[in-house]
Amino acid sequence: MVEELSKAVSKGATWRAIREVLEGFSEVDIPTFLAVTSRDELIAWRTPSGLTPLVVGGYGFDMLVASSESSAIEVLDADVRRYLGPAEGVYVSGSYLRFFKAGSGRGRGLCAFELLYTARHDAVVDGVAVYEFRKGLGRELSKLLADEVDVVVGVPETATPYAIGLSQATGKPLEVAFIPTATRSRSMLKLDPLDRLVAVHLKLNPVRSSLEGRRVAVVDDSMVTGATMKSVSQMLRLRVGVKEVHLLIASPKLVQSCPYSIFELSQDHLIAANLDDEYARVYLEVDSLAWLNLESVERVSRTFRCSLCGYCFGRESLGGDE
Amino acid sequence: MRVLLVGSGGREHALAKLLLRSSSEPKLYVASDYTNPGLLREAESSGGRLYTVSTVDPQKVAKVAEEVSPDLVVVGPEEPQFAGVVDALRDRGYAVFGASSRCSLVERSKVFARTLMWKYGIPGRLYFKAFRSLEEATEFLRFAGDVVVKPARQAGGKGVRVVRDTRAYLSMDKSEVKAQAASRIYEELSGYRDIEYKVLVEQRVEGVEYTAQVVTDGSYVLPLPLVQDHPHAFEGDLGPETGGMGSISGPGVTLPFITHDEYAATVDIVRQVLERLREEVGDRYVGAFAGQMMLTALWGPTVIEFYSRFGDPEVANLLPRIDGDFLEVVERAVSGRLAGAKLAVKEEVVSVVKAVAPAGYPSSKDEASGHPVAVDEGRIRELGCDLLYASVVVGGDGHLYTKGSRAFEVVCYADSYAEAYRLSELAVGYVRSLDGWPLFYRSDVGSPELIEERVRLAERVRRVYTHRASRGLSWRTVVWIPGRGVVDDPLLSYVGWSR
Repeated sequence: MVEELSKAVSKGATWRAIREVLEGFSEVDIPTFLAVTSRDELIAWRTPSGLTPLVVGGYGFDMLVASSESSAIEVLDADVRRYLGPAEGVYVSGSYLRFFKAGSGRGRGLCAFELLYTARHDAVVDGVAVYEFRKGLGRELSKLLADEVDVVVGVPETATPYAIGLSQATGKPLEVAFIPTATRSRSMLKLDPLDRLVAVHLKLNPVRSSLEGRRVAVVDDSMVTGATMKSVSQMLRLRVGVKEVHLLIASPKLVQSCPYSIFELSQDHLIAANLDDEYARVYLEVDSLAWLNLESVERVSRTFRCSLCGYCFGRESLGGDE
Repeated sequence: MRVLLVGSGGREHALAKLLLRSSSEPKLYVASDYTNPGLLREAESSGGRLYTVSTVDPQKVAKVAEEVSPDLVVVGPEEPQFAGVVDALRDRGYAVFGASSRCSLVERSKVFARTLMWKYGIPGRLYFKAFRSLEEATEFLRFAGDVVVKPARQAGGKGVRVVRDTRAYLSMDKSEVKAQAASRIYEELSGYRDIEYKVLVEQRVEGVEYTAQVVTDGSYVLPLPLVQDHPHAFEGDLGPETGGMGSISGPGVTLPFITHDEYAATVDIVRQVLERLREEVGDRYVGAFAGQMMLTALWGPTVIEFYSRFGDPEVANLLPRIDGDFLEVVERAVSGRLAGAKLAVKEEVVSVVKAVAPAGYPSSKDEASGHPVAVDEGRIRELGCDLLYASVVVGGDGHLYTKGSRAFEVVCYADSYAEAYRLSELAVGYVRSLDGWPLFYRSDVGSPELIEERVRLAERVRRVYTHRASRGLSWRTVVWIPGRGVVDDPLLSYVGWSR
């Protein structure tokens, strides 16, 4: 694609010609595309698959910022101006700016993990406030909580809004369970399993006083191998001395690896694809284990009017129109 | 009545005192590796005498026995048992209190003891793996997680390396520590020809340790009150493992942090082990036996190891805490009539025992040896405490000299820990160094603060194990290595495989 585009640019292509080149790739499952040409142009295109988001922002009339996440635009002290939909793109040169559409808009839907995990809590993705979406899923978790608990905690920090949602829905207090050490890092995004566990363990110094002797609902945003939660439950039991650990996962079971290379995880590493519920519960040493069901995600997605790719949950799409 | 006591240390001094309380006024003879002044005095004051002899040499001990012609022999330490001293004496027709070499295998070989527990499904067992060669052990340790690396033979607590490995960012370095521990153990045990396995890797557990001592005649088991030993050299449970720096016992038969149910479960474990041991080795177990236990999140009462004898300093706690004729209990055990024995526990009395050792103990015996020390036994007695002589001898100049291990033990008691503790702190103050070489003891042993801390820890552990049991998790540990599948081995770590 880059090759085709540079050929076109060297022949003096206009934005229309560039769009045509992009259109030729509209059936290919590639994520958002961004290019800067030798003619000082910027081309940003959210492919028709729509798996990953694209946001455009700017300051006054001088500068344009294209980003996969609205937070980046705000951090750069710019304003968010437009959320690009699937197949939408923007072409910018020194003297010209043009939003365009390349390819058809029927996509796979936004990767569910964008809303569930990848985006920051302060982000707005395709017009959806991530924080509110997560709290909504957290409220759904309350339907799965069969046992009486004393406190709710979110582990790791990415699970906080879910835990807040659960806490608000159940009326049980939210407590801080762990304090991270060193820098904030996204443990799930690390490819090497040891690096991942190192990142997890650096987040897990317990606040004993808030939890000792209590029945604790632990909320995590997702569970891939379960290594994090195994560490958490052992820490809570042996170090802190909680009474019960009820684990609630704010995502449906991850059962298939992602064919779009958004997460590099093979199926034999997915706990939900390898261990049945009872076995997983014993492995994780928790009193109960519940995963958010697909219907809950459907319901919340509809409320927020978004359509999601749920391939890794074993469902082509979630939410969207009835 | 003539009693021959084999052994040289503080444990034997405590046993001597217990035996001499008997109304049958025995004459005490002692076969000891060195002239322990405490044992010498007990022997001579009873009309007996002390023989200096290698206590691990069956022929030499038998010769002493021939000379003494005792009605009863009590073998204190484990090494003479391992070496066949008990067997040699029994073969010659003596009545011996002490495990035979076959029975003492339960202490000598940690692999044997653990295998026995697994074979018969006895509760309180830990997962383990044993290695004959260093190569095998090192290879396995690359994949091991949160484990303890131990010598597979009883080696006085030495060489045990507890490697807490629960934080992946430290795992690389911990792995190094495990490998070093294995190689050190391998070296240390290379001198022993009496075991097949050298290195033991075991599930690491946390909790409150305690010792359950019993006396048995081969079928009846007489449980004694629980005792808590403090194996670490220094205050705050810091420093290397020693033979024991102090111990507490009471009130009643348990400890402030062990419930009656836990006590009963512990005694049950000990009974089962003794029963299965007899089947396994085909020999009657006559003597003292102890389970070094830990209250863990996995099982509740859990076995760390076994002693085929009384613990030292654990046995010293019996001095102020039991009423009745101890010698009669021992005699009854030997003659298989233990069921009728009477030994009353002084319910209200609690005891605090403290050992005083020269700096250098336990890692450098050479450094710790040969220092002149003095003790004001009269003042200790005035406090109502007892003094036990352990690793000390009288030198040519009449002074006491350290021999490298724990030099003295003070035994104090009262009707509360606060008071027993206060007395023990005063009592240890009457032991002093004459050459400026530092002596140490643990001021925290028996302190109300430390006891409260143990109570809290036990509560935490109890919460987990009772709860796990109620949820059917009990002692099960499932390990799933992503990409490899389920392995039924809690010694393995995810981190190890990821490396």
